[in-house]
Amino acid sequence: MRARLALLSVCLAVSAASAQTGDLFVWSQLRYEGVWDPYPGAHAEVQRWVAEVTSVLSAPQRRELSLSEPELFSSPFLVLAGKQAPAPADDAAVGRLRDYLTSGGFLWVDDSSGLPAGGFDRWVRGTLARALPDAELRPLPPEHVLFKTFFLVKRLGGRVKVASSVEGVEWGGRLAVVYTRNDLLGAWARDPLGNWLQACVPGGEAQRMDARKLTLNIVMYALTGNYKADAVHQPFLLEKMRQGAP
Amino acid sequence: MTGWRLAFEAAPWEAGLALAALAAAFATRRWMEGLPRGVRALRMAAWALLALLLAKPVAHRLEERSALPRLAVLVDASPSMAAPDDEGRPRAARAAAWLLSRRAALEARAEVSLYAGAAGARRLTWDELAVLEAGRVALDLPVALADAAAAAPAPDRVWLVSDGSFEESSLQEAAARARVPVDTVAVGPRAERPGLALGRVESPDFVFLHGRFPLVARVETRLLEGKPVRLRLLRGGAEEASVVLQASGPYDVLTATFSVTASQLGRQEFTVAAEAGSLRASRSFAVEAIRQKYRIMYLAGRPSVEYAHLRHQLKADPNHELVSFVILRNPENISPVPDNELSLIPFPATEIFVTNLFQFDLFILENFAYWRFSLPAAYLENLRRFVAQGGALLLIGGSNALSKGGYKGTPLEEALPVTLADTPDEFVPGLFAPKVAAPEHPLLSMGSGPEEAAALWKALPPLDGFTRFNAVRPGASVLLSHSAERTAAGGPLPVVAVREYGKGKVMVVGTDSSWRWKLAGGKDWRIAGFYARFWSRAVQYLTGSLELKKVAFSPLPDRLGSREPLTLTLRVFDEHFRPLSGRDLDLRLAWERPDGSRRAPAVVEREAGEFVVELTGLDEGRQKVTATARRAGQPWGTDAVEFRWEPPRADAPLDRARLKALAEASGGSSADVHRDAADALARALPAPRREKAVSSRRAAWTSSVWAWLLAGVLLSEWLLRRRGGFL
Repeated sequence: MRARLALLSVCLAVSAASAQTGDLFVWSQLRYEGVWDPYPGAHAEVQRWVAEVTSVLSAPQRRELSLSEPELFSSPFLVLAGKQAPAPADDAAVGRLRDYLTSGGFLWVDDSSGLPAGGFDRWVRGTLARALPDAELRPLPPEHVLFKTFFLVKRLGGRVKVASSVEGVEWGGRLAVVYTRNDLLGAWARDPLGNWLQACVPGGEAQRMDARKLTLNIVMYALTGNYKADAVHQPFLLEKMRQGAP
Repeated sequence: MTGWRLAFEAAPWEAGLALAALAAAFATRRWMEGLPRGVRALRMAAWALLALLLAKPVAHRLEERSALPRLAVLVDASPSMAAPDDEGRPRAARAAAWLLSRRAALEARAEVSLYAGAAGARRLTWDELAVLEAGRVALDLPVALADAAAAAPAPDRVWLVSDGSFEESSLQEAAARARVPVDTVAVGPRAERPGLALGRVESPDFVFLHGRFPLVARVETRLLEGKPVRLRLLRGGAEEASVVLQASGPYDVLTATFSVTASQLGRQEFTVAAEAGSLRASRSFAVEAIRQKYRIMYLAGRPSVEYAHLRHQLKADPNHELVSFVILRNPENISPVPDNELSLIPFPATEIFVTNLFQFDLFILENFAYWRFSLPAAYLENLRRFVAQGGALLLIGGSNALSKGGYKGTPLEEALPVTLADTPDEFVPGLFAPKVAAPEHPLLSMGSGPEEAAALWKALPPLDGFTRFNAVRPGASVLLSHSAERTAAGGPLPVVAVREYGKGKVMVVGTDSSWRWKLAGGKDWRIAGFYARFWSRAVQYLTGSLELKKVAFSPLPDRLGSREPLTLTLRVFDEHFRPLSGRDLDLRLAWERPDGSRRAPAVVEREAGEFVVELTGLDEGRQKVTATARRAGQPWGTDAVEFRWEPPRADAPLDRARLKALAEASGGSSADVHRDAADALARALPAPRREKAVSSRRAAWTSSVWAWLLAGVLLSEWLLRRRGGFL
């Protein structure tokens, strides 16, 4: 019992410390009963590339938390990944998810199953419909600002290609949820020797690059919102499109 | 020429019975089948006769005759009509004598109805006119004229015999409500001196900054025909514009329209001054200039949660026109793809800091490292000048900002409320709860009272990361401070500090983690709107709008009408200066009377956000009315107006110009008891007209002949049936 209490104290201390990140970008990932972290090293890959390519400064440590933890409301960027359906969320958890999303939180859901309509997908749709019954999960049109927050994305990448669109839930003039189903995180995973863990099919490395671009755009959307939809950018973006951006 | 006209005088219930008789005749048709035609005809005749009798037919005999025009004469009986005229008689008596001496001539030309005018119009006989005295109630001209015009039959013309001591503002309304031409007859002193008076000045209560608006001034002139009258518009004592006009008659109302630009935010004092020779008149008034939209430039050093949330917050406000730039990539970042696959645009530094800078009201620099882009120091000098000339600057800290960002020792530092740290490692990550250092500051008035505000601040989550400063500059205000850390000079370490610099304001926020207040609203409903309110107030404070009144009485006119109820206009605005409906307000008014007693005056919402306050039972002396509004339980604003009220004056001068203006507005003409123009006025009456009038009436239904006729029809019907064996 004493050992458990000691462990709990350590966990709390770590939890409190992880909130102290200054003004850095923190990758927070939702923990639940089941395989909540299909690619344990993927976040570090993403953050490394974000730091190389953009001006964003990231906190090196990932924050892992459940919907019931108070830190949820100091974690503005939240990732939910999985292959199988988690246990059904109780009403309290769904309520907290709603409070989180409607107060400014951002959730990126990545379906790693590689299936067109697996258990995880059904769970995600059911849970989001309960959390935000007055908003709908909809495919994002190709001209959505998400596809130009940093890279001009015209093709959807991923480890697989089971979905032809990215979906999202709009809330209060912004995307509160982005849902990708082509296993974006799977395209980032490496083995201990640094090689890609899985092949991207059917598009190979070009598809992987597209996955990387889309991932970075999702991070940038969480940190800039609809910035690239401002009128000041439009002439430049149109010119780049005209020049033949992919 | 004679004629007849048939009319029916049945009461509604009698008309109903007549209709019932006709309906009965129709309904019993079927029962009469098989009866002889004569019986059926007699029965129908009986029903018809009964219906006719119930309708009470009356025959009118009409005769044509000559009808005189109808003239209503309204004699002013307000207190000023008690003042003696040149002959020592009260003006009311003078008016009565003038009319009585012309009674025969008037009645020969018109059907005259006499009225005494005060709060309304009271019918008079000629005998009552002879003893008419001025009363204690001021003349409510629109109501009195409407009363006189509403008499049946309606008059063709109205004469107003008055000294003109009614409210000028009621002229147009009075002319409209009279519905017929009003001829005015002036009563009062014979002698007149040249005079000059400023009438109404039409100005909007508030205008938008940088916008142009008209100011219309009216000057009443007396005996200044052909003389130049100079009107000057002064703003804060300096002449803004002037115009020279000329009076075209002995009594004239000159109108000048000035077009003015609202060049400064806030209350602006104006004066309209009129001069004609040695005559002078002036009137002062104020116009409130507000912003239509806040033009905001938001420059962020890197993508961040703070940027995403604050940009979203500013962008969502329809009163903000936001242009924002965020540095997505630094020079040292690599590009994995060709440039045309990136959505990046060149950093328009020159446009931001030079070309377009002065178009903005607020400039936000968030965690922006100035040194990184090798920008010239002149840009920051330009930013300093922007503030000095009235712009607003908000600096939000972070690990790339302030000293680390290269602002130490630059011209901009001089404008900040703090002196920056000497070393660039000034930003310290870590959670901390800021302390409210100036709870009374308007920017921090987030609750309905000190206790509620304190509870609100206590409920907020900690912020993350703060900036060290050397010292707070004299004259700056620290609004939030770190609860434990100190400046290098030893004072409380500011987290939020503000300072007025030149004509502008600067705010420094030493952390870029205010987004935590927003997200925490999801777990604590008490602070759900805190983030939005804080930044909205910050923008309003920096741009000067927070000081503008949200609850404001309209400026009082120069001359307060002595009539009751006295009305004041109150306007209530929301945070964006849109009218705020009474449904969303708890509005309370307190009226302090000359004897110190208090009353709650009547308030009516004329339209959304515009309230009419009515004061009745006024006593002479100083009055004060205070309006206090609360919105959603929070104090919203207060305003007070003070003025002196006097009962109607008994020594008011004869105002021929006002009488002339009324006559012209209604299509009538004006005259004077001293220059007898009764004949000229009488000639303006319409000519007698031919009309048909009822000379006698015969009520046919009262004659017993009809009863006998009905009885005869019924008897005949019975006899016919008996003869035919139908009994």
